[in-house]
Amino acid sequence: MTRLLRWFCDPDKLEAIEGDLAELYGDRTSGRYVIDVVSLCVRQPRTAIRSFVAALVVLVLAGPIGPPDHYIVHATDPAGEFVLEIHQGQAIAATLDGARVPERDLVQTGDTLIIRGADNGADFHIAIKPEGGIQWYPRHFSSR
Amino acid sequence: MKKRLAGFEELVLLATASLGEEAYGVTVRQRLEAETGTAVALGAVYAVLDRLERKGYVRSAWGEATPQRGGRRKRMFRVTAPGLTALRAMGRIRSRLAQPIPKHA
Repeated sequence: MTRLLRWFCDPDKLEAIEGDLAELYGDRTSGRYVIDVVSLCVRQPRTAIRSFVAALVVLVLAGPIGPPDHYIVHATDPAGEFVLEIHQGQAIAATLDGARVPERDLVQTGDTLIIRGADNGADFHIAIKPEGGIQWYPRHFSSR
Repeated sequence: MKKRLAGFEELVLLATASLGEEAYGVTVRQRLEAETGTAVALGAVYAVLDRLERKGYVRSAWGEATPQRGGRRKRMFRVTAPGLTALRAMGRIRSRLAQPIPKHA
């Protein structure tokens, strides 16, 4: 129990607390002694333990960290600007240089989105990352 | 904003004040148990004393070390002037609130 107390307890308060326990119980270890040690460990923890517990509580309250449910990506490459609206991992809308892409030209299979004809007439492949965000090979500049 | 005293904080502060220069973890706990008739965990006493110190109602300083304590020093607590003011304010609130209680109740 003493080792537990020394490990858990704020070192600045340990001397007084250990002294109080020695005065109250001496070498005896009773149920009351155990309750006192546990209550001291819980209520007088080291700063590091307190911070760890606080961080753990925040994490639990925040819930599991996952990709955002709905987000919009604004991206630019040599061919121009494009915007993607993604909902639950699915591309639901896109614009190329401000012009809306017809729905029939948006084809998504798994994490891969194809915008038909968007790369100088060729299909434009975009990977939608499961953790959120996109990855693509820049389209080439077109003088059209 | 005024700092308030919670129920157990008030009891610990009163016990500390009543003990004068003899207030430390063990004596505060013994005083509380004697007056309330219930068991009080040492951790609870220290947690409240620390909170009261942060509020400026008590001040702590190292005291003597005794053989009985294995040569470890006591952490002595004294009630500060703001602590006494808070206790008096709570006492006034209590007596005002207690007035409507009938004596035979």
